[in-house]
Amino acid sequence: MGSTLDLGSRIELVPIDSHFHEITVALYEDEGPDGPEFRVHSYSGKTGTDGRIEFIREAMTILGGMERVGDGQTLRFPCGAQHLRACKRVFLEACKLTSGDGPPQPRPLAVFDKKADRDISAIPEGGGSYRVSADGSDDNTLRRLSVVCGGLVKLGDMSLVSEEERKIAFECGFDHHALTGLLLVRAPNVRAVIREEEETTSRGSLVAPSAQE
Amino acid sequence: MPDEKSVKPMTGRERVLAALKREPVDRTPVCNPTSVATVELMDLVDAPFPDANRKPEVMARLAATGYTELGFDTIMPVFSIIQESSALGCKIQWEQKDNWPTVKMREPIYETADDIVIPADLLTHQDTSCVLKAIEILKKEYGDEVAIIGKTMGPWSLAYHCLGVEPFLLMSLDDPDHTKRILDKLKKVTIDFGVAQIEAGADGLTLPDHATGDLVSGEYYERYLQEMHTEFCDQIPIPLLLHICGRTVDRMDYIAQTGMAAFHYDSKNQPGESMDIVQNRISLVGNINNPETLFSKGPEAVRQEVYKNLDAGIHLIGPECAIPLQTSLENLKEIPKAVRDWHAENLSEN
Repeated sequence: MGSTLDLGSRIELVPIDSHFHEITVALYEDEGPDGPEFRVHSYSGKTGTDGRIEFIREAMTILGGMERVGDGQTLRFPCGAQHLRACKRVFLEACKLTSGDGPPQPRPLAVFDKKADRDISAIPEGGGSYRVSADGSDDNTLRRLSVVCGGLVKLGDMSLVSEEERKIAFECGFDHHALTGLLLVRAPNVRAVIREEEETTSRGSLVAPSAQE
Repeated sequence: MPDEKSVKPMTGRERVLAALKREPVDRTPVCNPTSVATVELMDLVDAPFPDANRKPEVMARLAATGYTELGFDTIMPVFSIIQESSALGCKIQWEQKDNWPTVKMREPIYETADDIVIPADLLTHQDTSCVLKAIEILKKEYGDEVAIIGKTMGPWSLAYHCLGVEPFLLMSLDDPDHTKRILDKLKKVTIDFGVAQIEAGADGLTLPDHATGDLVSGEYYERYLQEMHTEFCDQIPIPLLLHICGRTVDRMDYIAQTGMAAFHYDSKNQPGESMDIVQNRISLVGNINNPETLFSKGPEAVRQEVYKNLDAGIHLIGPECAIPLQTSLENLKEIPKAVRDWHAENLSEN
């Protein structure tokens, strides 16, 4: 009788898309023949919703290096792995973009870190490994490199291969340059990312009057 | 549990009303005494907050999804807890689609019992009449199929809103007589709004009165509210579903004596211990956990909690309180699915 769909497990939600009529956009995960597949969906019937969803989908392929599956409505990582945390981040970053600005550009594997006052790079070493590096080796820079490594590990569910060499890797063993570039933008300030996520999820819970601030 | 094999198939409405009287049912009803609205459902029927709290057609449209999309046996259109307080003159923060409206309790409208004057437009104010009109719409459209549940706030909750939580709680410690005078004056709001909802077509009413387990003891409940809640059962002639959040086993015995049809209980109370206390004197509704289970976990965890309640003989199954607006539809739809499966499994075993 209902018109809701069985789309798999909902793994992320943007309650209000501030770039398109405040619709709600969700990311669903389902098991495909070759591993996890992800679907961007909105139940909104507002004119233009399909276009907005297609924009987010396309942005995820560019920013996260994801590829379309089947009819192009669902996405996957080329390696076939889930990369859950990273996938959620790709979706959230895609939803922050305005459709009117056109498709985004992939992020480079380098970012300027204000606290180190220099560029920090993720240098591909093959097999899904990256070495985090900067053009300097003073104490502050080394500290910042550790922070960025930790941020990438947290945001991308990556593993720390060598703390000394600041080497991290995707456990799937495949390179993910676009995804790493995207995560590198947020990695220097991972606490702010987590705080933002917590604030978003805590909204919308009704508390008794006695518990309201 | 009654033998459901001997009960003819029921509509959702029949099922809920029977369970509220602890009469035999064809299966345990799925009931939401409080909101099951989510942001995705708002999109589905184009009925976002805050409009869904202020415009009757929008309110009815969103509420109906509890039945049409989720498969519950009830429709409950009063999502918020602020409708009457708005009509009394409290300042309201209406918020956006993704958050609940709240009363600005730091700007209280009363200080003493003498300040309390129930406005003449209590039932015609936009935010109360919206509820009445929404119930009329829902009754007309779904009244034969499911139970339409309204909501009228109890005087303890209204006092928090109108006097502020801290001043009112301090008063309850320092001046019990004055506290009782305040509650006595505010109970007219509860009764008048409740009776108006019956006239609009409600089949039952949730009566939240936030003498919550964390701040108010069982002894306080007995002292300030038990008698008044008993009186509500006479003054508001319809099944009443009392809602109090938190750990409340210390007052369930008192609650069971009030004559309320049901107690909507929190997941901080175990189903088994709660059933032992109420001893079939009142129906229990609940108590699927919101923040940890419905919001954060998956359908399997939801199913386990549903089964735990059914195993204990809980009369009506539903979320413990208004669900978070970001709750997934997958988890909500699992509640009625699990109830049906439990009954199928238990019938086949017998």
